[in-house]
Amino acid sequence: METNIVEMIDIVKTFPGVVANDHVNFSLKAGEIHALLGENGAGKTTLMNILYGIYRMDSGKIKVDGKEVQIRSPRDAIKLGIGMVHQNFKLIPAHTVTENVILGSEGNRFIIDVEKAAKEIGSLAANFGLNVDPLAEVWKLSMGERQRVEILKLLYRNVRVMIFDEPTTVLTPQEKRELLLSLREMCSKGKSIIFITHKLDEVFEISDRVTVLRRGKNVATKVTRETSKVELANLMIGRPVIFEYVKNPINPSGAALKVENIRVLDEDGNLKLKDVSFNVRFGEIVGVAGVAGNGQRELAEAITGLRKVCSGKVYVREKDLTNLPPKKFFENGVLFIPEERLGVGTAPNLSVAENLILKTYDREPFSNSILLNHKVIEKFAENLVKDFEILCPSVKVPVKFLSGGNLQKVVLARELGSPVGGDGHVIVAMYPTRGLDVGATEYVRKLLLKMRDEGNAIIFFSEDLDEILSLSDRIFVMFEGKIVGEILSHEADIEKIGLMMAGVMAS
Amino acid sequence: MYKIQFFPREKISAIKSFAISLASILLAFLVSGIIFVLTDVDPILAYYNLFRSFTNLSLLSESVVRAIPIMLVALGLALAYKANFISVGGEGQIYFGGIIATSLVLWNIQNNIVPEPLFMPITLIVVFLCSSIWGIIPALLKAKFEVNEVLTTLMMNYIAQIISNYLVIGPWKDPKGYGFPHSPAFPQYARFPLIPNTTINSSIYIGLFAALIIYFILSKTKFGFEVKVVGDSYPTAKYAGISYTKVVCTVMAISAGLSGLAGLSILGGVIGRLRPDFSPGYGYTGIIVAWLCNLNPIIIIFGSIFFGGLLVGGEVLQSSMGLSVGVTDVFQALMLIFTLSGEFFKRYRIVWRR
Repeated sequence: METNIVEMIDIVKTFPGVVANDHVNFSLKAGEIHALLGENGAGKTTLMNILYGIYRMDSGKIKVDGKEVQIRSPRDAIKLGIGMVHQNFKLIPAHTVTENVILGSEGNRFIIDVEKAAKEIGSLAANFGLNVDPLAEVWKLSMGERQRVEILKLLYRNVRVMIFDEPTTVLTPQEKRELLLSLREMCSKGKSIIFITHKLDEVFEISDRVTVLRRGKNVATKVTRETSKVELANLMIGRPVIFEYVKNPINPSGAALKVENIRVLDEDGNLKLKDVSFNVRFGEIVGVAGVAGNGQRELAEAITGLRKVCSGKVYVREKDLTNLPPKKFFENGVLFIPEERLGVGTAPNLSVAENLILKTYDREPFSNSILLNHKVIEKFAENLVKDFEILCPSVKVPVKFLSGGNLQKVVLARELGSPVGGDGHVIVAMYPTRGLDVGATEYVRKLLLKMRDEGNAIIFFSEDLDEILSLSDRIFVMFEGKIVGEILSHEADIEKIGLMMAGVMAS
Repeated sequence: MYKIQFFPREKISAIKSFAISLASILLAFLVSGIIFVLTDVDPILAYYNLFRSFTNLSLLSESVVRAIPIMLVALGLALAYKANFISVGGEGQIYFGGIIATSLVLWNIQNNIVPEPLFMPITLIVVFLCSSIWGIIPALLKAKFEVNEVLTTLMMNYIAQIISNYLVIGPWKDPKGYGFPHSPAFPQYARFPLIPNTTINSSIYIGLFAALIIYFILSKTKFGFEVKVVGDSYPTAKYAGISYTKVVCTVMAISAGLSGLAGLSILGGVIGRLRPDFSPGYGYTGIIVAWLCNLNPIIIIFGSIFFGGLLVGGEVLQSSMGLSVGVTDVFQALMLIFTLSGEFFKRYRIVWRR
């Protein structure tokens, strides 16, 4: 029990502009279930993708059974007995369970004995309590059953170490209980399990030990029964607050944005917002906390006109704008800083100047009824570049060559520098500082505070609780398509918010 | 083991870019040269004949005649491609334009309503508008039902061509044509006059004018800006409140309208009547020209003349060396393949890794 089957030492992995893993250490003991806990973007999946051979680390060591190994591909990982169940299943829907399981492990044989394989898979499934018909076609299976097929793929390859990336997100409560039972079963039969999650409940339900990652660093490894939810929430979210901002007293007035009982579907027709109601006043900042995927994107799109609501009302300045096109929202002073800066917020191959007039190109003085006025546009762009301190060689370069921070400034400059809507705007910002460096982050936060003091209404979404606490006047917590908590920031309690985000409690 | 990896380039120097283009063209010559050698043809002589149209004035004038429909199609396609609408429907639009033009001519021969000097101007407008409607069909299907535009435009090519061929052997067959499958001849007022001392007909002016218009739309107008945003990033266009339906429908209306005029320019400028299979694939050559000219309307003028010259050169090859016209197709295809591959190397740099 005490031997380390896997050791990851001083792992460093950087992506352009981000350090995803910053000297992370992680070890897995034989026969344990080890939870890897952290917020989105903390580097959990990156670390495990390195162990499974999908990414190559920049530096660091991996030891398996005490021996240093090189893992260059998932094939290498499987040879060493390490397998992974991804968040998105990698199955061929038209094929049967058996065909999916044996795919890639047929060896050099030309003829495949499907019947024999099906029998083997059937007995494996029975052995580990994974109830699934080996001859069923995958497209007919539920998400829970598909996950069992993924697990069978690993068991069939005789894997000893199994990595699960957020395995419960796609499951119903019933399926989740079954999964946790079979994880215990596998453990008792000698498998070791790494369980990636951001849900505190699950850590306590299933794990023996837990390692917490925060912003690419490992902050602690604890024996689960010796720790508490409060302690883990603190470790996961991280104290103390890094940025302290001087905030003027709040002076709200008038209803800027009012949302009444909206229900919204995603692309696949799932209900993502369930009767959400709230209001935002001019002169205040509302921060929306929550783990990504709990309806934030749908909410932001619904209040900017990009997504239709199936029922409910959206009012801007007490004017009913429900289901009007995005242009109408913009004309009424709703400014939107979207999640993807490149590809939504800006068109990559268009110039800085062109991106700065993306929403105002069709009005005076940038154009008359037919023609664009390039001179005026360039002058306007140059002024914005100066005002917002955008670093770019010229306003004619394509925005795809700008850094993340400067790209975000282009979006901010366009939205906040646009002459629309009269006094007082409604600013909707999705993850406005995600992926930005310290300087750019501070710039964006100060700008949002300044806009608030100037009497604009701001609602922003963030995964960074420090950011939410230091900027917001009020805090909403979203969980599974609902606002489960509304807290005044001076009464806010970071532990309580963390628990609400994890769906543990409602206010 | 070495591994090849590709990284996007941030910038490329003008010299490097030119060198890559030159290398691509030379490779096309080299590979088709190998094909010539394999078929027992002297490649130097073959190239000399293929490019003779650019040294001989009467052949050059013939090349320009061929260039007119190519130019009109390529200009329209370039506009559609700028909006990332991958139309391959030029060929069908040529036939559709030809059908509309012929129907107008036959109708006026019978009823004699439109005065002769007004006939061509009115025909230009009617052919353009009718072809536009034909072109809006795939745009609407794409915008409203997400139907793949490559498939719809390609299928519509067959529809138009087959209808055109049916009309020629059926209802529109010339009763005085000794059984030949063609329509009655267009009267003089329905023909484009020749530019004095050349074989070039005046529909060249339509092509040149169209090039200027497309250039103007793309670089100076609000609509051109919308086209660029839609073409570069659909989600950004949606976010900015630009209507995708409006943009692709307008783009395809102009694109198909120009290709329809290409059909009119062939019938009213060269053949003088409707014949079966009257376009030798100008609609497809237009695709090649549009991409090779980097979707730039001004460069397309010259690219069309170059490809017109290749077509003429192919015929010279056929008559002087007894080679099949297919040789020109092979050469054209190799040019396209190598130039497009060259584009890849302009955008990515290559790194060898152990």
